[in-house]
Amino acid sequence: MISDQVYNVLTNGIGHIGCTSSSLRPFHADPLGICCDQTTNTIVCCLNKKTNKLFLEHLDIGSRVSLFAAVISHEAYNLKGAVTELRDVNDDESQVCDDLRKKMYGFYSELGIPKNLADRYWLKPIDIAVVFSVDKVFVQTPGPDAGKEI
Amino acid sequence: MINDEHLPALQGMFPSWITTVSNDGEPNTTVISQIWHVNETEVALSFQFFNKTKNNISQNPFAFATITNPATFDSYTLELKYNRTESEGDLFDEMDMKLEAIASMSGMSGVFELKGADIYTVLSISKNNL
Repeated sequence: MISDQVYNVLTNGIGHIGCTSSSLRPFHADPLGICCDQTTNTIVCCLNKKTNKLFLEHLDIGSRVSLFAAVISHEAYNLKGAVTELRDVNDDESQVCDDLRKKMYGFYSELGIPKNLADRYWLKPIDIAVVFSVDKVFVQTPGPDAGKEI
Repeated sequence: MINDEHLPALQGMFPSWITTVSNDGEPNTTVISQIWHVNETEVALSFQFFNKTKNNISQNPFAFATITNPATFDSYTLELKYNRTESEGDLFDEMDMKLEAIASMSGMSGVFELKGADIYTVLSISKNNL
């Protein structure tokens, strides 16, 4: 279900993950790293708890989530599924976040954005892993295929 | 509710994020080029396509958005409720002109017609940095 093309965007781009409350109010959070297991169609979004408080307050096992991920070329995908686990971030996942943050510093530097500003988004404690099982993948690259299920 | 502190984050320098929910509980998170400032209690989103966001809002008026100040990287989350759609007036003209300029620069002039300015009431706005 998660192709290599989607995997590349998930692991090299910027994502946002959304959920809903029991009263159908939406919330979202900013992953600082995304891990993907193509064999099990499982995604791990690594988050900072404090800055994503509203999202986490409304998230539970079984919650439906929508993960939007995009790269600078505008290639983007939306993956939907249900949360299977909320747990601490492991060492491998921390490493993924560190690697992505370093990549982002390089990208921001090319845009003339200093590291101290980039840090305001990227340099936060990564202290919770939201794991979900993907059941739908949609193209979200702007264009005629936007919204099409893969 | 919206004051001078928030205005730089509503200029469209950085994209914004929005999440909506269908009435059967399926969330949808996506990126939008800009959230426009309307007044102290309202913001606007462009309505160009009948996409999932528009479809969700037609079922359930609540939305959640994030905006970023490009100079400080301060980010703010907004809880929004859809109010109305305007298809004429100063705000509509301003949005139409800017979107056409963006489309023109992308070689897609005339493709992304603005159908309306969707006006949302801001229920809350809060700073999101550590």
